[in-house]
Amino acid sequence: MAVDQDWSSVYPTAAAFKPASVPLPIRMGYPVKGGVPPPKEGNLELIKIPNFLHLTPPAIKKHCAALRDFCTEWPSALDSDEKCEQHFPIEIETVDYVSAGTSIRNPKARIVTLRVKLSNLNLDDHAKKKLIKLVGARYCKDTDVLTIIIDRCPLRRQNYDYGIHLLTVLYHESWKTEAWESEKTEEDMEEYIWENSSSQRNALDTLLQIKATENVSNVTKEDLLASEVVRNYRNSVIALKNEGETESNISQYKESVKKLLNIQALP
Amino acid sequence: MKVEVTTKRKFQELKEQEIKKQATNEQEGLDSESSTFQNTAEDVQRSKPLNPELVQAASAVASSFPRSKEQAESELLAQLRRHEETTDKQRRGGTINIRNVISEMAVKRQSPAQRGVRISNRISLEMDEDGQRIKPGRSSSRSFDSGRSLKAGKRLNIFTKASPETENTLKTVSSPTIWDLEFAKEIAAVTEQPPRNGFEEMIQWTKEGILWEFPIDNEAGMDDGAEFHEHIFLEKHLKDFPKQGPIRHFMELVICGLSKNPYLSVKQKIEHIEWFRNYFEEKKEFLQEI
Repeated sequence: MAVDQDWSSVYPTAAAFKPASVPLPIRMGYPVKGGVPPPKEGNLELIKIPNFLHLTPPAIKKHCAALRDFCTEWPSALDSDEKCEQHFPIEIETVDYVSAGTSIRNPKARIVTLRVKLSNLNLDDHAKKKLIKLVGARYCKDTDVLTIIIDRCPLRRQNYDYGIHLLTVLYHESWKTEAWESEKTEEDMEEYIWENSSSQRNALDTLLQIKATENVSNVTKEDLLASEVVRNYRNSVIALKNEGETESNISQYKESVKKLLNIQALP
Repeated sequence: MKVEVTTKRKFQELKEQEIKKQATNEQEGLDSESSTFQNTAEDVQRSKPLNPELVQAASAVASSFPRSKEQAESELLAQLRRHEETTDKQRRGGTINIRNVISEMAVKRQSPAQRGVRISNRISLEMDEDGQRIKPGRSSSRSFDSGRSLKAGKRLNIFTKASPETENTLKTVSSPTIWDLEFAKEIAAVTEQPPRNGFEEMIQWTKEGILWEFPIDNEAGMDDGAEFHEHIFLEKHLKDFPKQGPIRHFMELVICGLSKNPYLSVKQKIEHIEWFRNYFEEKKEFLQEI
């Protein structure tokens, strides 16, 4: 073979290994006793295995050049991930399966995964909480991503339509307020709210009793609530309940309680 | 069947009758696939009753025969009946008396040249060296040579003349005919070259269906046009079931299961529900007792 011959014309498509056409001195196989692996002429091991002699980098360049005429440019306005997310917040993921076999069918091909960030949806506080309650485990709090996997229908396009339908229904339902939602109890709350909680009642009662024993003039609840010590106490309790117990949270709670009950540090 | 006669006149008569019988036999053999006498006897039973005068005349003739009077009479009557049938048919204008047609024809001696043309015409589906078919015009010109032309001679009235408009409409409507398609396939098969490179071979394999179409669509050919709501929202099929009670509860569970099943078609799901409907209809009496 001449040195300047075009290799992509020797192997244009996938073909078996032809030892006369491939000018490389390859050896393959188990070595003869005290010898070397057998040479390439008539070497079944080289013929059996799949080769990629038709996909050398220059050949791939030629393929790309030929396919370029059928391609369109990536839109220049979408040059960053954030812009893509801003304009196309919903991500659809589908998988096609290729296998060597007689049948082209694969039942896993119908599965459609729909991902959307809730921050991209127009939801107020109540709607967001209701939506999260409705979808349950499909919402990831850390990444704020709602993932819906749909595989109830036999065909991919049916699953896609159903997914979009589900998202629409979820969105509209979360905006509606049903009559029975007013019966939401403290156990249903997602986060700790200090107002009207037992902690608030206890604190206020304690303070009122302290004030009564000191015979201070009637201090109203609103004043107490507005006072700084109570505010501190409230913030520390909320932090403890919502974020769990951390070093800083507990020390903050300790300080606020000391201030509330006016306990001086022991000398 | 043997009918013996004494006089020449009767012989003539019966001869003609025999000929006619054979003619109608052949004719009915051509019309239906049976030419046996028994089948014509069946036809006889089906046809209309004969003119009573004819019947009497037939019986009179038969009585004049020395032997096998009843057989003769029955055969005559059968023949008469067949006459009735043929007249009816011809009144409606359907049948052809082949005997008349064949009597005019004679066996033609084919000249060896014409025979050669015929045979070569049959083989001429392959191309000549120039790649042209042997023109059919040549054979018609040869037919003039043998001394008998196509247009001369008595009309045989085998084919009814179609009006020219129907011919034209037939030509426009029935295109492409099966022969046109075969011709087109022939041309494509002869002119195609073997693939020059691996890409052309892959194109050919894809057209034949040996190679899958890329990008692979795992659902190629599976689409039956149903929408997602036909698979998932199956409550409309529960219209005929009672609104309350354990049956409704059960059927709602059935529907829930069916809606999550991606392996059944919509038709199969509806059939499932139908089966349950029929089952509960049948067991209604038992259920009322409960």
